[in-house]
Amino acid sequence: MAEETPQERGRDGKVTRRDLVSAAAVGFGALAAVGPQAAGAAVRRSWVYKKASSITVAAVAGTESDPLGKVLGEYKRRAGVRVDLVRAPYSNLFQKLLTNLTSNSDAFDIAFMDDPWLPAFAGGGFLVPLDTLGYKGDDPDYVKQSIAIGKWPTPGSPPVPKTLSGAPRQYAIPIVGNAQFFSYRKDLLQQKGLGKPSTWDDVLRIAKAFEGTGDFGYVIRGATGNPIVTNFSPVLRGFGGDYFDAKWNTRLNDANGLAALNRFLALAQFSPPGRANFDAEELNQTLLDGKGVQALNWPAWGPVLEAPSSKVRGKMGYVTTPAGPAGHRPTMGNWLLGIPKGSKKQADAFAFIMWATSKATWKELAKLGGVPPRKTVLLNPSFVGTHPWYPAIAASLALARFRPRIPNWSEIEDIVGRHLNDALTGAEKPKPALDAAAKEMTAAMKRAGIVK
Amino acid sequence: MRPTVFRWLLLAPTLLTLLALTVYPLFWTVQASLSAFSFGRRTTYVGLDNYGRLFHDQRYWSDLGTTATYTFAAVSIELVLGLALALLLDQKLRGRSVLRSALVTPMMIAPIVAGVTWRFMYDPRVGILPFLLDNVGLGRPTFLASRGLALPAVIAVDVWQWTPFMFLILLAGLQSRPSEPYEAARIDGASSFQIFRDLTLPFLRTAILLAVLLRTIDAFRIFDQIFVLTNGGPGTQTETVSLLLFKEAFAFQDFGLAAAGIFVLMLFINAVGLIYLRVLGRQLKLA
Repeated sequence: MAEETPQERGRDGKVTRRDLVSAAAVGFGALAAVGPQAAGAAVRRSWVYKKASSITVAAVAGTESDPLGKVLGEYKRRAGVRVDLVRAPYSNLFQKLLTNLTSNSDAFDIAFMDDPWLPAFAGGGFLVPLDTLGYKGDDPDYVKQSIAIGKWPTPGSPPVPKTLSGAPRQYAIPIVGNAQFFSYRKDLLQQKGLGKPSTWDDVLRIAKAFEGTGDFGYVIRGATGNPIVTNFSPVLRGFGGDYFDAKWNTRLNDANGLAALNRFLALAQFSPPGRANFDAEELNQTLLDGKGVQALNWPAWGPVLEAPSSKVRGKMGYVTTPAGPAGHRPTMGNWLLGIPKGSKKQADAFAFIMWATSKATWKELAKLGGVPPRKTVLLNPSFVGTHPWYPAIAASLALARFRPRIPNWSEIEDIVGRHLNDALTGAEKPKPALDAAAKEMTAAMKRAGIVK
Repeated sequence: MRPTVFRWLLLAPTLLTLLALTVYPLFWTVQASLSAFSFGRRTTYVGLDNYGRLFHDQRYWSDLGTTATYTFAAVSIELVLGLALALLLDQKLRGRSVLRSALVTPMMIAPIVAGVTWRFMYDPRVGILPFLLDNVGLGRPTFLASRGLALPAVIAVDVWQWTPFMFLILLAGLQSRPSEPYEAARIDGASSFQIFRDLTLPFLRTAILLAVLLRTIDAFRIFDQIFVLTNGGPGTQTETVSLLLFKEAFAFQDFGLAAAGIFVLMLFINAVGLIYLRVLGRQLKLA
């Protein structure tokens, strides 16, 4: 018997509403059988593999987290808990953490975060206060500024509306005791009979002395955003300027701010070509090539500059950031360990944090290139020989200033960074650049509800 | 079971997944664009406030202009180069297959990797390009830090990576041409230029439109290479809309404004796509 054609069946091959409903019913049934949980588990399984007795740390990729990565095996032997370190570049890490914290995900048990992120994460109620897990109080061995930066609200910082308020609580413990210092080629300065730089005037005088020699008297990070803002901050504050006053009104474009920017631009002239796109890698490569004479720097680069293979090993001097008329004003940049509220292993996470930041572990971390926030390690004479940058970090930590403790600092940093970069490339004159930045900053602070 | 019903049953899971991955995100985006956010959480309904802010946001419109310039320049150059390469490799050349494989290699590299590679190549101290230019007396330009050179430099990376895509589509178009009109033209004494202008280009019109449409949509969404090469700098010289919206959402946590920007961008790209499809549809009807 011949097969019945669609026409013979009276259907002529057209799709009817009944067909669509049948197809949809089967499709929904298939999806329901799979289930959203299975789908979610598949996503999580493909992203972070978790066994029982393990915790996951979301960390920044780079020298900041390398030392911690090397001691995880020791923790597994002692506590029987495997620690998975999921690393991401700086900007990706912020995005990852923001997405996870705001969705209350349990993907990460510990957030390895930069201190400017704490106002958004702790202030937004996404982190667990550590006193609820047994945190006993401040260990006096910590540099005071370092332990304070893990509290919210941060002691010494003006209050911020629309965030969690009340008495400061500890939300994170420092794992990298970062504060800016100043590195310089002591051998080159000695050859010219120049003393070590102590003020920004010294830095300028020294930079001029190397003009035309083929070496770069002062190297900056000039790329738009975080690099140029971090490089500018010690100059700004050293000249008595700042981003905001005590009531969060913008003051970047006052007379001190303009003086600071003029000095910053004068120093930038002694940097290599391409400085408007320089980040930490380019700055330190210039030093490692032996071509850079002076530069602001971060402690994570100390082990790299003093590595056995480094061309400048033993030739670098390290001091705190130079002083302006208002004094030395290095910027603090601690990395902190906190616990997301979504974590289902908060007690395990807290136990790991306490172990990782203990005095005993820090003795190991320091040998592996870690930057200690603990005085007993920073000032230990046995470390200074192999870590000549440690005294500079200790001096900087004692003088360091926080970046503004506001949840929208990333936006402010982007605004300021853009206009500083425009001033650096000559697209804007200094005063108009600061005025334009100040106007945008004020609008951003109003949108965030921090000022009216 | 009727064959028609069976066909739809087979398609149903895919269709439903597509609906879930396109309709639901679109719905969420529209909802987000009408809301205010605080600490990543939706707080209040604000109506068209975000669109109002977007309309007055000079940076968004400036970046849209940068994106349009980037797209137009990159796609135009890729079209010319892709066509030239397709015409060259349509001929019987020795080593043609090896050359074809080598030509498509850039397309297989992840855009992020291409960006990192070219960042090194542009480096004024250690990059191969400044080195070569210095050797011919042109000095060591600072491509990615110079306001005049940064945008052309990132466009060049796009051209390097995506010309092979144009080349492949146009080569396929060339190889599907009928040979009889060409024989007739040669017998009639037509020159190579006349044959190209009056036969080759008309035959390739559909392939050209398709290739340009696909590359335009893709170039408009450019993000990864620029993020790695310049992060939108110097200043905002190379900042595209995608990069700005990424910053709005994930750095500034202003998901509402970012969603509004995404929706407007989507409408813009759809409009461009519809125009192309109209022209393409007309060409197909003529064919």
